[in-house]
Amino acid sequence: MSDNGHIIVGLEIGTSKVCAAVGELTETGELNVLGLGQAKSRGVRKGEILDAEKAGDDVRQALAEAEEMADVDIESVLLAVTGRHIECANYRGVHTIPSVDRAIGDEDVQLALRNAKSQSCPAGSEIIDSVRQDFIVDDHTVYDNPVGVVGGRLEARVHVIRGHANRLATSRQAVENAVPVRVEKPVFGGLASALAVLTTEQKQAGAVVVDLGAGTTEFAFFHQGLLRHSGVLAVGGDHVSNDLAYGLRILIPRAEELKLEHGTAVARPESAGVQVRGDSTSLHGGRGVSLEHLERIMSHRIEETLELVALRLREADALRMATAGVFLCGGAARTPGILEVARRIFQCPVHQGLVQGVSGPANVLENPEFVTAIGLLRYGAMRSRQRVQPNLLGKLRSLASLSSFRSFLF
Amino acid sequence: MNSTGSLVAPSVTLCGVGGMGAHLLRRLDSSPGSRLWTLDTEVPAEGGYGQGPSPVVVGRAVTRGLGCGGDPAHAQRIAEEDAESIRAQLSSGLLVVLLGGGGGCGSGMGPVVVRLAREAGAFVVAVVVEPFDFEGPLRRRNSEQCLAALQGSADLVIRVSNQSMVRLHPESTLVHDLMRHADEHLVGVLEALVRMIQGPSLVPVGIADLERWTRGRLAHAVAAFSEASGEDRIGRLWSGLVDHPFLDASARFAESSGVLLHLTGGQDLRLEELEWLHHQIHRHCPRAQLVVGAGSEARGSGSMRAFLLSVHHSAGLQATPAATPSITYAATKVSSAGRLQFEDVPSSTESPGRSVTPVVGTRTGTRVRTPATKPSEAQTQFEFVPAWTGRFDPAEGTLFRGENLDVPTFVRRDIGLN
Ligand SMILES: Nc1nc2c(ncn2[C@@H]2O[C@H](COP(=O)(O)OP(=O)(O)O)[C@@H](O)[C@H]2O)c(=O)[nH]1
Ligand SMILES: Nc1ncnc2c1ncn2[C@@H]1O[C@H](COP(=O)(O)OP(=O)(O)O)[C@@H](O)[C@H]1O
Ligand SMILES: [Mg+2]
Ligand SMILES: [Mg+2]
Repeated sequence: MSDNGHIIVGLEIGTSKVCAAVGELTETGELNVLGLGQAKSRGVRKGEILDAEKAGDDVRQALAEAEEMADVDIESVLLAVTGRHIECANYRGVHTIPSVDRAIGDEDVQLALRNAKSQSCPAGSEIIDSVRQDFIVDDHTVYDNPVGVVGGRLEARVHVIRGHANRLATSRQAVENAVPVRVEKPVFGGLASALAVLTTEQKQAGAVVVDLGAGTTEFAFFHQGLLRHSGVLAVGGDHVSNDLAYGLRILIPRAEELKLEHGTAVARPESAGVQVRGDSTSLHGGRGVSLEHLERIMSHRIEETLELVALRLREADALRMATAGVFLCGGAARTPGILEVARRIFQCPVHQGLVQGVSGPANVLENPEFVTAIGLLRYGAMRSRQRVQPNLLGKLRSLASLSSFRSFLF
Repeated sequence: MNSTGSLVAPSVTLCGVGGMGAHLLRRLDSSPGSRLWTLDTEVPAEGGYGQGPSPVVVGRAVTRGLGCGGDPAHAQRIAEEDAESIRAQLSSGLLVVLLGGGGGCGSGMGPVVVRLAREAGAFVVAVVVEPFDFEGPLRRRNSEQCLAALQGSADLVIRVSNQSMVRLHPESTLVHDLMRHADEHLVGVLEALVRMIQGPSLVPVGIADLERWTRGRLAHAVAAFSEASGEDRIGRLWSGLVDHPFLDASARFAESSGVLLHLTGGQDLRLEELEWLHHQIHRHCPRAQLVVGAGSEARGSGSMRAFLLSVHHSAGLQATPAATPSITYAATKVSSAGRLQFEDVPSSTESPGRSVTPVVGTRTGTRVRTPATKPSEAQTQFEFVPAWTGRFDPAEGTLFRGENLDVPTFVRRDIGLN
């Protein structure tokens, strides 16, 4: 079943869980989630694999579960990567058209793109994706697609996402050494999440997706259908629990539990003097802790994390241009009150980010934790469409339809 | 020294005690905004009264200007009897006292100057030049006793070792050349120290940052400096520091409990360079708390200078358990606001344990002590406890604009829990 080219598998080795999603891309271009598997992640810190063996075991478990549910044999996966080794930046590449009065051709575009890409990769790092933005011909006019335009100087703008070659190899090998599956390609997790959550209209209008994970917080900003900015912060839900463990003098597992049960993003005045114990049936139960302190500690961490994201987003003026707003996903987006806090900090509309335009079991689609893995399916779908299109439709048709999914040209 | 800033730099007074102290001061470039004076029991042979710093000669009646014969106890008595002449020179600013520990005058009078200066409200850094081995055990003992006395009285003691120069030279080297080479390194360290205190700062850091870790404890610092420009300047700057004879000879750099790094470059100092240095220090000194500062200097293009102080606590005197390292940039608002104190630090990364008792509201003191502070106020015992990062590897800190984000936010923000 997997060799018909319509099965896409996304794998996220997250800090808190490993998640595999199996999707099917139908003839008509619809995307269905057929299966999902997950395992607790034990080999990852802040998004990076520290223990490849444990990570491999967790991957095996998640993939096996997904295979069984989808009833397919998984041969290859798109692998979400994150961590502070990931660097995202915009680059420009210039190509001078050799003879004047000649219309810009596809080759010129490729050369300009290549020039942009070539400046962006220092030794030891590897380009994960280089996403094409727009083009400037002769220093003024901006084109989505400059092919056919007459001009002398072509400047291509690209958003380049790169990572440490070694770290990327570690992730790839953790999978390939554990299971007989090929890693097709690494994909930045923040980009995958954004693709899952945003509609074409939102990407056009301007929107930001912030994925609040356990070890990392990723963000991506789209405007006019183009990926304008992205990035990652090595801070996440684990930091919240860590702060709680410290401040409340409890062990981390108990902090994690209290966070899930009593956590909020805003400290509430009515919590003063209240003691909480956590789940009474829990192994970690014990003396009560101050709810007031819990909320105070937690709200400061969440506020700071969002402030740091806001700072990064403002580098690209993203918060002002995100007219469709900011969408929060990832497990920590479940934190009660986080939308209000985010609104205050981002100063723009903030929503829960839910998977859009994908069908599948509701209990899979509505989980903020699975957004990245499902986003990988969307990535795969766009990629395969892009690949087959020129052969199927011919060059002319392909050019005509460029702008409809130009947010995804590499 | 090229202090080129337009800002008013803090005033610093340099005081050379004894022959070596005066000798060092004469070799320093004149430093605008700093005052130099020397204290001795004998009239200086070289340098004269002319261009050198103004000398204060004490105990003339006893020594007839002929010195104290290498007897620290004798020198100490002289200084105490003539305390008024010394007090007349003192003010409440920052005072750097320079002396050779092996002799009599510097090692005997130095601690007296330090004490009087502290009483006058000064912040005192003592720089002790330790003797060559060939000078014999008597001088070594003088130096050790002087060091012990200074550690108990100065705000910070910096040790620089003459002997550390010996390894760098073949045995046939002339003693004269050896001493001149040692002098160059001593002067380099002093100039870097003054540059840090007085130069225009980008990321301010001061001796006071270090003093926080040393106050009330038997601590000392070892200093090094280096300079590099051009290709891979940062790599060479770093090797210049770690290979610096003063640092290298101490062989204990890896055990530093605190490291202060001060960089001066042009406008071209890059964040990645700072971060790379950070990383190196972390790898070298996993237990060290780190303070980084940077100064700007309108100098030749691409040239960069570094000054490093590595702080050590004398063994057996530390009550603090094995420390978890952390990073504090002096420039961040957060660290300047002071940090919380903890009675205990969990040793296991997975368990904060029951033993962590935050004593909220006890601060590590203001970052720069106001000169007028009464000495008694400064006597409070301050524990050096690095910030806790719990489940996260302290060597892999999440650095952002100089803060380690792995340290709980509420701790960095100084939010109380009561
Ligand atoms: N590097 C260097 N060290 C010196 C020099 N003169 C003295 N010293 C050191 O300083 C110590 C004290 O000497 P000195 O200052 O003359 O004695 P004091 O006047 O009695 O304090 C000696 O033991 C030497 O280790 C010098 O010219 N160069
Ligand atoms: N209700 C909740 N309140 C606060 N945090 C939550 C909640 N549910 C999940 N989380 C946090 O979300 C994080 C896991 O999110 P996830 O997106 O799966 O992370 P990752 O992709 O890094 O594995 C954990 O830190 C977890 O504590
Ligand atoms: Mg994730
Ligand atoms: Mg003398």
